[in-house]
Amino acid sequence: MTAPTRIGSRTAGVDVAVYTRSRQWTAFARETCAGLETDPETEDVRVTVEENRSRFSHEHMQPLTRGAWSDGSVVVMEDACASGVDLRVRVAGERLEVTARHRPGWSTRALARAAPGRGTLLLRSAIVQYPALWWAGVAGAVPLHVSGVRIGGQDVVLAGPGGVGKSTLLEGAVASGGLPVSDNLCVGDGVSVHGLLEPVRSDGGAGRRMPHGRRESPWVQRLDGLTVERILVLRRGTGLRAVVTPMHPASAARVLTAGTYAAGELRRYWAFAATLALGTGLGPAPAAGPGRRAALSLRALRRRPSPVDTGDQGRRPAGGGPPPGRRARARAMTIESFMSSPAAGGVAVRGAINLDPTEFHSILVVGAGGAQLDLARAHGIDVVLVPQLVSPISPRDDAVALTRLTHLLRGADVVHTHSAKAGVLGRVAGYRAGAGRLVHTLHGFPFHDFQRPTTRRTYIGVERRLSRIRHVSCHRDRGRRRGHPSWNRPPGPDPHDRSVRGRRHGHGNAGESARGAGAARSGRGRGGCRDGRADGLPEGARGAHRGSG
Amino acid sequence: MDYQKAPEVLIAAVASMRCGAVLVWVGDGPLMDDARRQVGRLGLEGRIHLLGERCDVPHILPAFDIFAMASRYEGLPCAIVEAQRCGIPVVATTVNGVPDVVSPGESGLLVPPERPDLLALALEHALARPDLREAWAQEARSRLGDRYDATRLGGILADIYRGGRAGHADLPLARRVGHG
Repeated sequence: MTAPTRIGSRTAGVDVAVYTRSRQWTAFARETCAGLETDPETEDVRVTVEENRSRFSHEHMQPLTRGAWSDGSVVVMEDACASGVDLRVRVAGERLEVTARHRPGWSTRALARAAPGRGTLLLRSAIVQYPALWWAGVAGAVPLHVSGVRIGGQDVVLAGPGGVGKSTLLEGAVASGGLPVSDNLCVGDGVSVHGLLEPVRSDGGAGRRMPHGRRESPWVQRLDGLTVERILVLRRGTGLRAVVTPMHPASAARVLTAGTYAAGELRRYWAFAATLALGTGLGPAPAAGPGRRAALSLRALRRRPSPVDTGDQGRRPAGGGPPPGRRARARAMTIESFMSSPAAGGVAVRGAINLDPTEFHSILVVGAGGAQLDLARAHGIDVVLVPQLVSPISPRDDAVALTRLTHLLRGADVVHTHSAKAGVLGRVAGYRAGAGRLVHTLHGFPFHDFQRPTTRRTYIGVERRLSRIRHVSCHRDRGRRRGHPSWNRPPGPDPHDRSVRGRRHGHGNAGESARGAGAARSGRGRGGCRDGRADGLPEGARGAHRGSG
Repeated sequence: MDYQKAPEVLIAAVASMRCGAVLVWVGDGPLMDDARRQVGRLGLEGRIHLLGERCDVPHILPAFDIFAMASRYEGLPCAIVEAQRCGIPVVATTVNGVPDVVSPGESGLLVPPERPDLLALALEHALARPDLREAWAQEARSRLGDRYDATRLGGILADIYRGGRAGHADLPLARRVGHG
């Protein structure tokens, strides 16, 4: 019998050697090395691909989950990662030994024929990559869905969800003399990242055809790992120019973590890792969860690098980050109709941006976007669109918006509404959803002297009623409070606490507002011209102002 | 450029000014075509420039001698605050929140809405007195301080929001807070 061929590689920070007697599997292993085959002295992970098609025995083993058994040191997994490969995994001191047998069922064969790229990716994952990732995880590293490159003397990690343009940017960086670490996946230990070795996927590749219309090609040059100095979070904006802005480390960590969980390449990894952890007692246990370890590691990671955010790439993934710390932050939902306005929309967005992301999870719920929405996204604010918020008053759309808002606002710690329509629907929805705190900011005057009297009276009536179900009214100025019904009436009780009816609780500028209201009625508001004796005031302007309280 | 902003009032004011001032309107809206027609009808194409929507306002603002606004109603216009931050004196209408940031005779001038004659008078007066304009601009800047700073806004909101984390039972009674 001929000696098996040994194909060595360095991936995920560990040395892997694949042994096989099959020409087909030798070619497979070489392709996985992407042109960067090594001859490692030590083998952290030894993979043996056998031609034997029989099942691994799991006699005397305890079942771990469907298709997986363990005796405490050896784990047998059938059809690992739906690849058609059975694995026997054994921890042998400092080395992980993996034996693989290809035993695809008819459905796996059919799928592999229909989508050969997918089948190859699954085989790589199950036989080489996931064992290497897990063994790196046992040593304390966590998988990260990032690219890495050393360029201009700096070690940069490119983060962001799939399809955002990491590979394209990496390609450009390599063309400009950068040294890549990985195209797609890395492992990080809080200080450095090591790339997972796999062929480069690009539109211009000439190798194996892959999903999303891309082709593979081997690496020309690659670093094994780098020490993280910068994290570049990519988003896809609507502008023509790339914009790079500083980003809060916590926001960057969220994007890294969320992007890692959302990565299709790692979809089957979590179950794989949990099964091995259960079967061997090593590595991240399911109770602690790889996510928690990822978050902890990222927390350490973010102490070192300065994250930056680029606005020309990538959308922010909707939804939250990792489970750890989720409830530690207050969920602050900001409701606004239009985000195109630099005034109301701008104030709403700037308020959300300037909240500490480690204390508040800001979510914008808006009817329509615009430049302000791009700004919010560029700063890592979650955005939820409710298109019915923007239509003029329409019972049907308003009912839909109210239902959606009520659903969205459940569990919110703070609901902050802006402007008239969003203020009405948001406050009612927040009240119905039992939100922790209702805050309303008045912007452009919703009722003014140039309206029809009936319209004005209606708006004022609505605002008066709604002023009973809010905790805090915010105003960007004092003058606006004059004439606003919710300001001129006594403050209402806690809308959720019916035991405090009738009590008054002035706060902040409430007293000042009462003075303002009185002054407004008497024509002596702060905006008045102080008896019209200001120096240099033209007669017309002075006279005009006197009557303008 | 809509009904609220009263472009026809500002155009009429500029038309009646004798000093030949040039008006540059930054911003777009449903009344843009009407405004163009009005400018053409008055033969003021050389003196009134309607720029439409611009994203380089911080670069345009310092070129102006006066920031003028003829609005019928306003909240607190960010445009006024931005102009004052750039050191541009303001002549505006005395509506709603505007008097909070413009004290007539101290940090600018105010006239009632829909009065192009008084607006023209105020603009001519301001244009004729560069010393006053300078004093108004300085006063406005000193009064602004960090009132409208974005970081301060975040701090105030955080203070307000923190009260909401304990749940319904511990919520204080209704509060009213002026920020900015």
